[in-house]
Amino acid sequence: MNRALAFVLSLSGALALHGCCWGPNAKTATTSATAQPEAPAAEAPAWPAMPVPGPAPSFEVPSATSFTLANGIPVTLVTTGAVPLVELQINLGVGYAGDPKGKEGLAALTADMLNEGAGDLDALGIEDALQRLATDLSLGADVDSSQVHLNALEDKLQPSLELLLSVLSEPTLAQADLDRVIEDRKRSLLAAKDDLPSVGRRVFNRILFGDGYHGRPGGGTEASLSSLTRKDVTSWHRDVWSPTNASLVVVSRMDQAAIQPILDATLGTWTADAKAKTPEVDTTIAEKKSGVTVYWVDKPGQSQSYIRLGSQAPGFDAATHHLRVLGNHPVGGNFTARINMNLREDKGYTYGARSFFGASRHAGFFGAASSVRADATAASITEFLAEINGALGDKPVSDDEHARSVGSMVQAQPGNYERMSSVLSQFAHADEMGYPDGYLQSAAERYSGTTREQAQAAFAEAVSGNDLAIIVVGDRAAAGPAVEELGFPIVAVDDEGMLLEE
Amino acid sequence: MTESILRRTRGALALMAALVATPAIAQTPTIAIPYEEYELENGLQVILHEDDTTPIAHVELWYHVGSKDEVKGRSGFAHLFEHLMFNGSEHADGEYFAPLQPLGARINGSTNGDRTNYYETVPTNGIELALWMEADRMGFLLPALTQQKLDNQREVVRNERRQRYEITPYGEVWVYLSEEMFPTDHPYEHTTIGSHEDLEAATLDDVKNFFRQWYVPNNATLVVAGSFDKAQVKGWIETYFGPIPKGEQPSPVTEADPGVIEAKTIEITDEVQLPRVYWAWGSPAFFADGDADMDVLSLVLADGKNSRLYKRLVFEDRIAKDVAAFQASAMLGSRYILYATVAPGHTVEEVQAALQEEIDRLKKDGPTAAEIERATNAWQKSFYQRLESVAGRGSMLHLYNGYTGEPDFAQEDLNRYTSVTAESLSQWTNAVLDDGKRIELIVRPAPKEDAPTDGGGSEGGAQ
Repeated sequence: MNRALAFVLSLSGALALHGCCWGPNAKTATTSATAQPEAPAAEAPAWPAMPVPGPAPSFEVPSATSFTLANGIPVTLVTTGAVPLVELQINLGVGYAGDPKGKEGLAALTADMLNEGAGDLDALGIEDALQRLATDLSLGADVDSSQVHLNALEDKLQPSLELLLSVLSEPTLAQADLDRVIEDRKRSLLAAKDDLPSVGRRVFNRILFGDGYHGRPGGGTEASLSSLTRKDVTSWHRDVWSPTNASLVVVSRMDQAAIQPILDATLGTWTADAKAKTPEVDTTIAEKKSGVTVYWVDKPGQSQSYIRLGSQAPGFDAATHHLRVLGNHPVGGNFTARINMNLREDKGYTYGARSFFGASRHAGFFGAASSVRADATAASITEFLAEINGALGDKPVSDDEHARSVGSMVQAQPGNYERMSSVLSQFAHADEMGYPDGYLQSAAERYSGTTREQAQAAFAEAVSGNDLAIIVVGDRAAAGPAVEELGFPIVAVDDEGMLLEE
Repeated sequence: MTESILRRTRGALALMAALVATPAIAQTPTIAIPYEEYELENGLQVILHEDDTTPIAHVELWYHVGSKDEVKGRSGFAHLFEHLMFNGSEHADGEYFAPLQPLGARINGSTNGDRTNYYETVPTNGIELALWMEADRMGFLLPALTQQKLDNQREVVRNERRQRYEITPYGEVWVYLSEEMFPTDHPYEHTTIGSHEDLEAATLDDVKNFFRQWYVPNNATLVVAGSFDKAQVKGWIETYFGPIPKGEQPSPVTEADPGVIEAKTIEITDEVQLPRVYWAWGSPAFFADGDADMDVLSLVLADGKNSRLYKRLVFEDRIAKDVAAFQASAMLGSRYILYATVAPGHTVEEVQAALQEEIDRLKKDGPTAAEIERATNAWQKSFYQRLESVAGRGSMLHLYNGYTGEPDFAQEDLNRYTSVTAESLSQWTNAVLDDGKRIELIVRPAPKEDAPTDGGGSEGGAQ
C-alpha cells in the first residue's frame, strides 16, 4: 500500500520542483567584478559566530538475532521499530547473472510470474487478497539474487505469509499469463529507449562487462524475451525459488520468541522439489578494456546529452570497500564534491554530476555521470577527466576534504536506521552481499579509522584516467563534432550497447 | 512526549487493523503529532515537535511564496531564487552545504506553485548550526549575492528544465497542462520551472526585490522536529532569528478566478516511441471538500491490477502499456489528470474509447464497497508510514499549517480519507470528470527522418 501513496506523491512531485541546489564554488564566491554588496538586511552588530557542532550523539546500529527455520532457512531478525509493521525480505542466492546465455530476462520474468496466479487464486485474486490485508508484496531479481519484499501490518503477518508461501511454492505459471507478462516486458524495453539515463546505464554495463557476468541486461532483450518458454520459467522456479537457496531478513517489534512460530508455521513449511538443482552462475568477468573510447548512442533532437563514463573496478570486498567509498566521496560522491562543484556550480553545464563505485558480489565498477547541455558535451567530458586525473595526480584529496567525508559517512548513520524500511534495506543488502557479522555495526569505526592515504590509494588502485569507456547518449549531429576534437576514438552503438556499422 | 506519540500511533494502527479485518466497522483511528507553536516578535512562526527515538532532528522552513506569486515575464523566478539561497550569505559566504555536510546532513529545498521550503535533517549536534545557517540566509542573503552567482544558477536551472522537462519522455506536457487549464494571467498558468526566456531575463535587482518582499520572518514558518532540549532550542531560535527585522507584510495570492475551462484537444509531438493520451480537469483545491475523494478515485482507477483502467486497458484489452491517474492538489485549485500510453500495434482511438467507457461506467454505477475499502486501507497505511520519521512528521506539520492554517490537522486529514464513501466518490467523480470541461492532450512520436510515420502506435512493435 506504500506504493499507492508513493505513486501519488511522486507524480505530484513532477509538478513541484524538488530540487535544488547549494553552494557556489568556493573559489568564485567571495569576489566578483560585478558583485554589488550592500548593507545587511538586519542590524546585527554582534551577530554570533557560526556554531561549531559538538561531538556526534551516541548511536548504536541495531544488532540482529540469527536462527534457522524448521526447513533450514537462515533468518536474520532485527527487533526494532515503533509501529506495528513488519518489513521482510527473502534473498534467493541466484539472480539474473544466472540467466542462461540467450535467455536474458529469465530471472526477472520468473519473479514477475509468481504473483500472476498461485494455488486457487489468479492474478487479480492475489492482488485483491493483498489489498484487503493492506500488505505490499514485490518480487524481482538483481545481479546476484532473486528477491521478495513484503511489508505487512503486524497482526496480518501470518495470513500475509500464508499467501506468500502459496506464491512461492505453488505458482500457476500459466502460458496465457506468461505471454502477457513477456509482452509487458517488451513494451517496457521499447519505452526505455526514450529515457537517456536508462539507455546509458544499460550500454555502460554492456561495454564494460560484455556478455559476461554483470554485462547482460537483467530485463532481457526483444530477442531473448521472445525465446523464453513456459518450460524455462517452470525449471527456473523449481531450481532457484527453493528454500535451499533462501535466506530471510525480518525487521519487526517482535522478538524471536514471538515471531519464530509464525515464520515456522508458514515459510518454515516451504519444501524443495526433489529435482531442484541450483543453476551454476558463470562469474567470469570480461577482460578489462584499456584506453579511452567514446561510445555514442545517437538521440537526435535532445537538448542534453547523458554522459556516463567509467571502468571495471573490484567487486565487493568487506576489507576494502569502504576505502573506495571514502576515496571517491570528495571527488564525486556528494553535492560538494569536486565534480559537481566544477560541472554544475562553476561551469553551469548541468543540474548535477556525480561519481560512484558500484559493486555486486563478483564485479564492480567506477562510474561518473551527468546530463549536460548538448553543446557542452565535449567540455563536460574534459572536466570529468580533469577532475579524475587531478585526484589521481597533482590535485590529491586534502586532509580537510577527507575529514569532511569521514564525518559525513559516520554521522549519517542514525538517519540510515530511523525507519523500519531503511533498517531492512541495510540488513537485507548485508545478507545479499555476504557482509561479515558485525559489519554494519562497525561502520563508524571503519570510516573513522581510514586515513586519507588509504582512501586515496584505494581510489588510485581502482581508477585510471587512461582506461575509461565514455558513454554518450545524445544528439551526435549537434554534439559530436566537438567531441571528435578531443581525439578519442568514437564508436557508434545502439540502445543495447551493440556496435553499429558506420 | 515521545511516549505519547508512539502509544497513540500504536493504538491507531491496532484500530486500523480491526478496520481491515471487519470492514463493516466504520471506525477511524486516533492519531496526533504533539507540538508547541509560538511566534517571535518579528512575526516568525515556530512549531516544535519533540521525539527522542533517534538522535536526529529535522529543521524545515517554509516561506509562503511560490511560483503563483511571480510577476509576468518572470516565470520560474521563485525557484531560481531558491537556488540562490544555497549560494552563501554574509557570514557563511560559500557552500551552504559545506558546514553541514560533515554531519551527514540531508539537505534540500523545493519550490512549487504555492510555497518554497528548505530543510536539514541532522544529528542532534547539528541542530544549532542548522538554525544559524537558516537564520543567516534569512537575515543576510543580499550582501553575499553576486551577478556571477545569478548567472551560474540561471544556467543550472535551465539545465534542470532540460533534464526534467525536455529530455524526460512526455515531460513537456506539464507546460501545456498549465497553459491550457488556467485562464490567461492565472497564477498557475505557467509552470514552476518557467521558460528559458523569462529565466534569461531575470536580473540582480529582481533577486533583491524578491528577497525584500517575500523573505521576511513574518512570511515564514520554522518547524523543528526530533530529539532536542526544548528550552535550549527555543533559546537558539530567539538568538539567531530574533534579531532579523520584521518586514512589510507580504500578500501571497490566496485566491484566483478559475475561469471557464472548455473542452478541447491538443496534439503535440515528442521524442517518444509510443503515443500517450492525457485527460485533465479542474478539481477541488488542496484540503477542500472533494480533494480526498479525488485521491481515492485515483486508486480506484489506476492503482494495482484490480483498478478499473489498469484492468480494462492494460490487463484485459492490452491496448495500453500503462495507465496513471492522480489529483495534483494545489492551493488555488487542483487538476485531476489521467493518462494512458498506447501499446504498440494499437491506436489512440482505441484508448480514448476504452477510457470513455470506463469513466462513464464509474459515473453511472459508482464504485463498489470493495474498491472503497481497498483504497482507504491503502491511504491509511501510507499515512502511518509517513509518521515513522521526524522528517515525515515535520513536513506534515508544515503542510497542514501552510494549507489549512492549523498544524494540528493530522486527525482531520486522516478522517478525510476514512470518510470517503461510495456515494461521495460517485458525486465528486460526476462533478469533476465532466466531458464538457475536459482538456485532452495527445502526445505522438516525433516523425523519424528515416522512416515514414503513420502517427499510430505500431512503430517499434514486436518484430
